[in-house]
Amino acid sequence: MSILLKVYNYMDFPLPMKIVNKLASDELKESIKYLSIRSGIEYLSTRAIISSSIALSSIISFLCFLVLTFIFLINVFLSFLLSILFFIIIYNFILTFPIRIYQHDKIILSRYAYLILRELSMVISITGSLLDALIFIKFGNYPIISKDMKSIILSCFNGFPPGHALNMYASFLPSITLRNGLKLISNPNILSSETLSSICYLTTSEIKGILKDHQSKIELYCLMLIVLGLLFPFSYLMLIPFLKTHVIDLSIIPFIMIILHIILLSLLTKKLMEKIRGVLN
Amino acid sequence: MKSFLPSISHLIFNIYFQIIIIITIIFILSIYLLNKLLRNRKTINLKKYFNESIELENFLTLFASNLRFGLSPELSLLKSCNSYSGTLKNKIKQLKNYISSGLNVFQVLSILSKELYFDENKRVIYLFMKMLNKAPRKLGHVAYDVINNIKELRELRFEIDTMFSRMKLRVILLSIISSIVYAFMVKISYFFLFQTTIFSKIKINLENFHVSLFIATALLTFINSYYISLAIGISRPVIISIISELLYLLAYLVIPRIPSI
Repeated sequence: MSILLKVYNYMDFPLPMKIVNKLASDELKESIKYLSIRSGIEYLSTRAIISSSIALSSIISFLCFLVLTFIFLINVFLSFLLSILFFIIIYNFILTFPIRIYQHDKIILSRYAYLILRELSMVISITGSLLDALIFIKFGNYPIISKDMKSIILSCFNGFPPGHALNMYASFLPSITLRNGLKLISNPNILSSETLSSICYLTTSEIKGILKDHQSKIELYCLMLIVLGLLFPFSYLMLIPFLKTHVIDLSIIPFIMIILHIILLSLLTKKLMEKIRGVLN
Repeated sequence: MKSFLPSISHLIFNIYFQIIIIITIIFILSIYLLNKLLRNRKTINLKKYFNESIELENFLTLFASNLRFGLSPELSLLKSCNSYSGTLKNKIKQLKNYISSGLNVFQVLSILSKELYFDENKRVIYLFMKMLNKAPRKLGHVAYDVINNIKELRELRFEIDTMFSRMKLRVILLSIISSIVYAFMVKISYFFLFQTTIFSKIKINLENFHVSLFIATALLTFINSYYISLAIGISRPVIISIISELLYLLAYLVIPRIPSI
């Protein structure tokens, strides 16, 4: 992760803001904000990420073109097509890196959100101390959040009010359930027994039901991707009798199909993953 | 039509050398993944973790019931140490000596928490100490509910962890197996291409097709595994993609070309 963050810094060149705004989606902007807070880097901007993805993918695809043409002795046109393919893949990979980190953390945090909130409200109702609750979560060995709690507790020991520190931390969390729950807990003025019980109102069986639903949807999505992949060579073979050899070189078809496959995957992922993530939030 | 694409043997100059390299890389990557997985102490000692958690809960239940009878915290602890007979017996026995030597309940509980192996269990003791500090008289009534809550949350967490780790394993295996299937399909495609060209009477270079399909499917394997790894929430999806890719290449090299059988 740190290597790519350094790349973003080094390859930041001035791009017109019009282009930046056109290329950057709202999700990307939100993810960049999250990533810059999580990694503690202030220089991370949308422009830096877009410019570095263009620069890096151009360099790598050009190198690919040279290697394919002069080392593997592949036809120039096909090498060019392959380099374009590499450009699209690498550009997408670098550009969507912050989104991937954001979504990964969102999935992990959402899975444990109910558990964390229940533990927090249990400890607060017993001890009445937010700091104790944070320490309890820290030793819970939860992915991501236990590590974050360590730094929050450290700042509390340095004199920062726990409620304020938790509120600041919660405001940039990708998981909506966890964010809202932590914000409620962090406010000592409205913290009553009713509030604590309302933070995690779901029963154990309801939580299990939600998570099972989420899990089965993910598995179905993965299965769909695999089946789509299996259909790929077949669809290619089916196409051959309908194509005329003198119009287009048939060897290029798989690469065109790969581009179509990537577009299909991106659309499918965007549509389905939104629904899958919507189960947990 | 003149072949403008190199043959597969052009790309893979020494098949056996390639196989050895691929197996070595897969081995190194698998060790890296296993090492990452085993770094979590709970993963290796799941049985130990459950044993410790359940025994600690049993001991604390005894402690809570003694407190409920109105005994002092030290006496309740001493009585629970005497009546406890689980697998943590050796550690609990030592506590009796500490209480007899005059240490208070907080000191004894903190010694017990240091003796425990897992942080998840240590924090339960920490919670009990905090409860004792805040309202020792109320503890007897609250402790039961707290232990039940902790038990329920532990079981829920275990279910969540196993549910998702099983799903991860299933999907990763499926993705890896599918890469082998892709390789097999590319191999048999040569045969189908041959048949298709005969039936449709198209004059084409089969080798060209085969190479382009091989490269395109290799890309597809990588992309598919990457998307699948992302969906299941793997922190390093590229590693899974590389393993799938290498398995694809390995399967391609090992499976013989179908018309030649």
